[in-house]
Amino acid sequence: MEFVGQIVSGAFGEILARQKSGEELEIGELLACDEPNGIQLLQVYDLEYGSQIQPETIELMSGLRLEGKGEKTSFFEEELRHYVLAKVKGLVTVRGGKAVSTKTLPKFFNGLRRIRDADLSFLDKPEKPLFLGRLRSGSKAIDKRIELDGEKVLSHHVLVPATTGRGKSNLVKVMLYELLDKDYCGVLVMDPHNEYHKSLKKHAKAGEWLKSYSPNPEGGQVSLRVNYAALKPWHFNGVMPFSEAQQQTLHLAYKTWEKDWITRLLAGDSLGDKVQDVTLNVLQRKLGLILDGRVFVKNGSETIVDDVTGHLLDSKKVVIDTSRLGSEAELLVASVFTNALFNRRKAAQTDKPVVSIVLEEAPRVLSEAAGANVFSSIAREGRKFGVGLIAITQLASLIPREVLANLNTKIILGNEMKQEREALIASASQDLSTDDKAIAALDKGEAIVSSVFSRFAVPISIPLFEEHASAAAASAPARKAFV
Amino acid sequence: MAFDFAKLSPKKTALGAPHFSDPRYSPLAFDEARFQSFEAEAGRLTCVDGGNASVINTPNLSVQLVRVYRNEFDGGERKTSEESEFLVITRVEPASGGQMLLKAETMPLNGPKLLQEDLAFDWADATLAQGGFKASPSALGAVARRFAEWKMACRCFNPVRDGTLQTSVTNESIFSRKAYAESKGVFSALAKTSSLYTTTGLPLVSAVARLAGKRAAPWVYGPLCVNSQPDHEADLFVAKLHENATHCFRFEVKRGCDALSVLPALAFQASDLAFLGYPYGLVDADKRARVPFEEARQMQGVMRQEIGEGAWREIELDSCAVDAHDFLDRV
Repeated sequence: MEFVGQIVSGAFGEILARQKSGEELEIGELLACDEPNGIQLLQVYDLEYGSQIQPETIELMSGLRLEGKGEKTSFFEEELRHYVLAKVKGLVTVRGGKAVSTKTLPKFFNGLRRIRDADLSFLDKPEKPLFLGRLRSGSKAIDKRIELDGEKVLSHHVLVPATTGRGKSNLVKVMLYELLDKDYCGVLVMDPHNEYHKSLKKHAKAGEWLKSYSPNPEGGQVSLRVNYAALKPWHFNGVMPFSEAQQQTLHLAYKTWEKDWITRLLAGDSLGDKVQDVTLNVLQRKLGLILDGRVFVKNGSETIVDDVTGHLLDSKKVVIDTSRLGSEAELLVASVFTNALFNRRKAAQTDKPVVSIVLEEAPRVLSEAAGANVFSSIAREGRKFGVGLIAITQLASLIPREVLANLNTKIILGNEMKQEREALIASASQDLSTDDKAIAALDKGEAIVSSVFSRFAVPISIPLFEEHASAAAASAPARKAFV
Repeated sequence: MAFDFAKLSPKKTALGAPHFSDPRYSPLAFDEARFQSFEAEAGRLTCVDGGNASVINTPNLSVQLVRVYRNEFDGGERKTSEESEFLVITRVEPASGGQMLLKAETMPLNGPKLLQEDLAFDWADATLAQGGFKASPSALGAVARRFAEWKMACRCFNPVRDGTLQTSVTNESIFSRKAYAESKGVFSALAKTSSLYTTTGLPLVSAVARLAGKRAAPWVYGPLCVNSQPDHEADLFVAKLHENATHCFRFEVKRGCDALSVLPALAFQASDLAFLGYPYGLVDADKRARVPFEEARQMQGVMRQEIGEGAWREIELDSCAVDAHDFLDRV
């Protein structure tokens, strides 16, 4: 048995193991401990030095070396006297190929070894898989695909928190690529950098499963135009701030002019004595800024909302290029489609297929300041109707705790900001209280998946999208060629 | 009137000459010609040490946990190590003529059984009794440890004891002579502490260190005396084993043997940074042989379970006669 460490002390959830000399344990590394009634899988969450020599003596030794008085000195049996202590915690216990929660301490002084494929037999492939990456032990990717039950995960919302450059977009591309031809879900992707369409169209079945809309359509994309008539006053909730008087005016205008309400407001028509001119003027200016004619149009495109929601309910993946829109216009587009989708779902007697909405900078609509809107409603009650969010953000701490707790799968990428890590740890589905350093130390493409649908917080390595897509294309059956 | 603490500062006292109260040690006057320098050199050494701690202590019953350990190094490489662990159970038993005997049996726990015979001592034995009092049963724990240390040194190569080669307990010389006869190489001992003095009252080791001045270490000074004490078959020296060491040590080698046949190897081990100037083999032996209080307490728990609560209460009652100090320490 190749042991890399040995349990020397500690307590439940904070076991101390001595690292074998010559081995190098990493934060996040997965270890196994063979017990009489199964295998305990454990994870390293912290490392520290250990020595048999008193600290004062060590400091003196250092002084001798630094001050040039350490000639003809040495450490005898250095490997016995100085070592690394790893703090490890139990993840799960594997018994007869099934994972159960760990409720016991491994045997004192037991040896720890690196995990093997056979230890992971409990990680079976769900019927409706959502691929997230490969299992990772420390910084080493293991050839074991991590797939959760996609239908459950998507309807119970996903949070992708990370600081810039840690691979959020790459992760979402990989997820969407894998989901593209899955008929159990539709996905609405708000694409502020026009990158998802370019990536997903590489999929062999993109023609069948991918629908793309853009204000400036290119090959394969459909023109993104939304008729004013599709807009409702509540679509603006969370999109831009309105005073109470302005909100009342919006509703009055809609009640008064029905489908022409936007046109009439923009034209400066009067609502009578009930609304002051100054309110109307401000509304006219605000709406004019957001409805600048590039996407929202007075004439045509009457069916786009139905088309998009129809695609989503047909399990298609719909990408909306919002790269040339301002933040508010982007949110309004998302709000229009999401409201329509959510309403259709509420009216229908089914929650299948599940539909997920990918939204970047999610605190724009999920923070306290954004107020009530369709996205916060979905976060709270969307799962009942098979509608979920994939919320991407750098600042998860801006999302209220109650909403964060409802985002039941968190794919946590690297984050240097302590406040952000704390918000994530406090709302995670597993106890990540010892994973603060592990999260801070996550490299690009590394993540920890905390989900109510996994037995433990799973460390993953996310493949580079380009490589992943190439490998998938290479292994896909060749398309039929018609001559 | 307040005490003048300045009086405690060492005076510039003359070195004087080595002083031994026992006339069987004839001191040799200090002479710088008796310094010998040498070079550290890797070599084979076996360091031996022991430790003991009380598990049960009453006026008529003692149980001591004893551990004896040895290691053999060749230069910086450990060749072997061995540990022997046993309990020494001592009772007070009446003997003929109104005498009382301390009778000890040993119970092996780990490693080789070093002491084959039970031990029996008159409780008035002067080598055990302290301050004219009768010896306590607990004294036999240390006796058994000393005997076992000698046994552990048998068949070793260049054995080095922690302490001195002096035997101090009745029949200990039987064990020491057997160890000298059966071991290979040169038998020696290095003492961390020394209570030898000079005629002017200076500690002898520190007087030698002063005499050495800035002499480059490693060096050895001696012999300090001509020793004809039959129970202490040793030549006595003072040695400094590393140039940056703060300590010099009393060093003894089996009478008539060449100190320089083992000192280079000791100096080589003394380059370890944990205790510069003290051989690593002895550091290791000290650590491994030590019996911490906590370990004795654990053993006490095991014995309590084995003995049963009723009998244990009796023992506790008996121990009240000797453990009031322990209670006071905890107050």
